Amino acid sequence: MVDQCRRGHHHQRRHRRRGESEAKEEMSGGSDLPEEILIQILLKLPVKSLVRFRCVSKSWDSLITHPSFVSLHLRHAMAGHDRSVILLRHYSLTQRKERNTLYLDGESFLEHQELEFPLKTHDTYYLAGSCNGLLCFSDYIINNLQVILWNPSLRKCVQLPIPRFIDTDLTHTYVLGFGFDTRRVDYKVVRLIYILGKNWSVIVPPEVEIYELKTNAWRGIQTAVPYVIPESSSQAFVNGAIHWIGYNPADRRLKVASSPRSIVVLFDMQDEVFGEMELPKGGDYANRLNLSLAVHQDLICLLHCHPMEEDGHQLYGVCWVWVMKEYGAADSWTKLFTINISEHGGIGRILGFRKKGDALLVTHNDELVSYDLRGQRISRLGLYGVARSFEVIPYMDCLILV
Amino acid sequence: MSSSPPPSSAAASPSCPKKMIALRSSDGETFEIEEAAALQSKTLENMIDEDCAGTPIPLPNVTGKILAKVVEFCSKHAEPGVDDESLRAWDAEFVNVEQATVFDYILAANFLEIPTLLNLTCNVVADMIRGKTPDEIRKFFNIKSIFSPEEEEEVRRENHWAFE
Repeated sequence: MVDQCRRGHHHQRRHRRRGESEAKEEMSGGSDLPEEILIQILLKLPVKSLVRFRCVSKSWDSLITHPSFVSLHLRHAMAGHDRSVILLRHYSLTQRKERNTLYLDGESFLEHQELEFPLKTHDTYYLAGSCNGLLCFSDYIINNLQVILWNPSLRKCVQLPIPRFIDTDLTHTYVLGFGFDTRRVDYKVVRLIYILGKNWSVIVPPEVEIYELKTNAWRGIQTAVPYVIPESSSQAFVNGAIHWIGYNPADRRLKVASSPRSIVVLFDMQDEVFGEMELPKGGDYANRLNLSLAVHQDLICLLHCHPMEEDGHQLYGVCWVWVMKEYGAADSWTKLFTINISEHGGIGRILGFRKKGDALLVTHNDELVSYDLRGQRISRLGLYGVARSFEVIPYMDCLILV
Repeated sequence: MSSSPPPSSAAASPSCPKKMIALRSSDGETFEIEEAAALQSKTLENMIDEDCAGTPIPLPNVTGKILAKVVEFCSKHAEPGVDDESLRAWDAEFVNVEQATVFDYILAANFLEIPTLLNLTCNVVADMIRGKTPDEIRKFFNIKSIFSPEEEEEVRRENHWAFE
């Protein structure tokens, strides 16, 4: 009879959590399932079940928490999306508190479950980025930088070690990016530290350091980055790279000396190199506050918004949604839709897209609505919150940090 | 008779027309299966390439009772012109059996390397166990746990939300 669990290619049980002596357990009896089959079955289970099953036996605990199983489960989750779930964060005006709510993102937007932010703190944490089930937050306090990673499906959060470069005299500004390296199957945080020059200018190249989850350490990288990424730029992670709106201060192609040409600055997570892509031809991209990047159905997407008034209240009436159909080919930028909501009073922010393609917008009166791009119709969701506090984050069941 | 095209395998021999393959179970029963259906099994595919003579292939790991059902599954999945929805419904009926039989199907699908059957049966077991408590899992798989109560308590406490 086939007895004790063979580790097989899952190699030695290095990953001991409890330091007890090796327990020989028999997966025996009438149901004599080999380990590789058990793994096939476990891969189909949600995190909540897997966490509970850690208590079944020591060998199940070892298997479920083993890094290679965790990677396999992540790949499995990434590959098969039967349903789309969104984590919505906002400070609710109706309930007067911060909310972290899961919504089932199908034909309708259905409230599913309330989560708790893992830290009990009065500090405000801002989302630096999210991908593949992990969220990266920072308190952005300059000389006491806290960066945390949160896996909401596992209810677990870790605090990163303090970065290498700490600014004690407020002469720097910095940018955080978060993404996933598919080659190393690991999450990484990238941090750019710029020296502030005269007149609010920013000096290139910045210092760059990278944090890897597997090593739990920061390391500096030697790369002469010619780009400036404004602090206000938010990221879009797609195709294995982080993307921001930025510019190259040495680029003097624009006749107007005050404003270098806006471009997409990207950081490739696998090769750890920076690059750039052009924005769609012919647009006026001088005011970078009107530009943001998003991901629309797996394509990099540019949101170019046009203020309703000249005085810069940042209420937008019309917004163009562009996608780059062929990644890297600037001439494949295609204007997919125009969001026109001037009649309804304009929008403050575009938060992201639902699986079926609808845009999630925050209107001028702090309401979150779903906007059907084709029919140009608004669906109201009954959600009101502080406009700046809304975050729309794709949620994924994953075991990272288990 | 189905008119599926002959397989394109490296060892395809033009002198072997589409034919029936004979299989022998562990308890000596013989079954016939169309070549097209047999090719659902990677194990059988390898064996067929090597041997064109037609002697029954012995399968010492599979009993007659189970082999009969596996042949039925493979034949159904090799049938042309079955739409996805009907096939899914048929599959659901196929695995609507008691737990021990599902396990037998899994082991047979694993041994014979039939990815469709393996995936189907693993999904069934996953659905069966998804909501179970650790104790119920132990009974289901007949596992003896050698966790000390303190160790188990620690995991429970860390992850109490999963037990609610």
